Amino acid sequence: MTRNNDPALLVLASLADGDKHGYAMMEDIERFSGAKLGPGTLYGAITRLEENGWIAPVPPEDRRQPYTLTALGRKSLESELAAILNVAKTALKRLKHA
Amino acid sequence: MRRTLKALISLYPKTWRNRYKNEFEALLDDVSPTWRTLFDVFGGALKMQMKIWSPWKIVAACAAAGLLAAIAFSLLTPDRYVSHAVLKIENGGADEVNAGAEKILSRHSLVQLINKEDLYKSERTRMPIEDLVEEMKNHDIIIRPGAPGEFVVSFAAPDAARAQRTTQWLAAAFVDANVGTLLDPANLPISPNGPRRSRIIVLGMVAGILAGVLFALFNGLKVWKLAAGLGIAGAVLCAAISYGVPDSYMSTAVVRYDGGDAARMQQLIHAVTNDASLYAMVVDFGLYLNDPRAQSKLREHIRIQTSQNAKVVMIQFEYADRYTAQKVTQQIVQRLIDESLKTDSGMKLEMLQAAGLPLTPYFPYRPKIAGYGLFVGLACAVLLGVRRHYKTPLPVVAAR
Repeated sequence: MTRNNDPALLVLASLADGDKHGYAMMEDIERFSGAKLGPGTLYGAITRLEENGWIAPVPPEDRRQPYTLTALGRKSLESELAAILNVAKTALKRLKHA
Repeated sequence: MRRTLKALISLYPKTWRNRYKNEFEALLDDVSPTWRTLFDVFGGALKMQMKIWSPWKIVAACAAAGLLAAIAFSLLTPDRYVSHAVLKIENGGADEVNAGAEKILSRHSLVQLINKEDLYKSERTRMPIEDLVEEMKNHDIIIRPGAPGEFVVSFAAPDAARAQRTTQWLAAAFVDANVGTLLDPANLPISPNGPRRSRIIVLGMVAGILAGVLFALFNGLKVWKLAAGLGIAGAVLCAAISYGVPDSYMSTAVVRYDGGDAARMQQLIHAVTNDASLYAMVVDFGLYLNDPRAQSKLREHIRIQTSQNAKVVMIQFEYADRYTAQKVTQQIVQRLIDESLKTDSGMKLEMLQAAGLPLTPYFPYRPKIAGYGLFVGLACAVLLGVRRHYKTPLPVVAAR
């Protein structure tokens, strides 16, 4: 299971609502998670995700390269989020009963 | 900084640059260049390189990094020369010396000494004088007991002449305070006592290799699990073997001679270590029981070193029993003294350090042996890894 601050998961989550280039991903991730990803970390995650076939480049409009979530990536993100949600639900339930 | 940031792209692997360089450059144009960004891009390049490096390359790179860091550290650490002066306690005992030391090592007198000898030149620009005085008192000046009725004053400094002059000043202060009389003036140290550069460099390299192995191990490379296993096995095996080796203790005594030359001293040593004398010691102390080579073994385990300039003789004896080691050393010293008195040569022997009772074994030094085992195990694994790397056939790429 990946951690919820794992750069790869954050990138997948960022691409879940549409295609984005690197800088847009960095800003979006900071907005929704508070995590400031550096360019080296971001491109480390992008490389890994592209190798796994979870994201793919889309034709660029300028020098910036946008990426999109593939069907495989969407499926992986869904299963990861389901696992995180399951943990969160269980923990919350236990906190209520404690 | 933006230019430096872009220059760091060249540290990424070529295949990666072919695919991502343009878009990564565009991203670097968008972000604000900070030190954090710089380290992040550098770290990213390093991680990407590590991804394509073979395990042995990672270990070699880590070893080289460890080696370079250790060389830099050892070169940046200044030499440390230690000068000693031996004084005879004039009145009273250790309490008298301690009371005298308290006055001599007062803040006022040490500040005077620092200024007079221009000590701690670079430290004075960044440290308050109070801290320097404390540093000097606690680390660089050492006052310790010597032979019975004597004490030794030492000072450590980055240069030999300054160490000697400061020790002379301290010894003179003890003489002026009627605490002691000078027996052996402050020597000019010939070689530095530290840092032990070769040891630092070897340690740096070993640490680098270990870090590399661990890194490769955590990267899930099976061959490096073997490396960790071999390293640990080597260390454990050597430690186990070292426990099978009997302990050996070494007792040391130091005497100084006056009124004779080195040749005369050699004659005395010869008289004490001749066959008859050694045979007597074997019988008297029951050494090397039932061993036909007892006499020659005794000769092998006695070490007598002479220093012509200081007219000092160091006598050492190594044996399986610590008490016997001490007694035999005492006996050798006594025989030397007796021999010097026998002949009317005018030579006078004076004990500087009585034969001590060794508390820890001189041999085997088990942590060191386990360390060697670890190193040999890792080296074997590295060789094995290299061999595997070159013997593994290249995978056949299926035609699409």
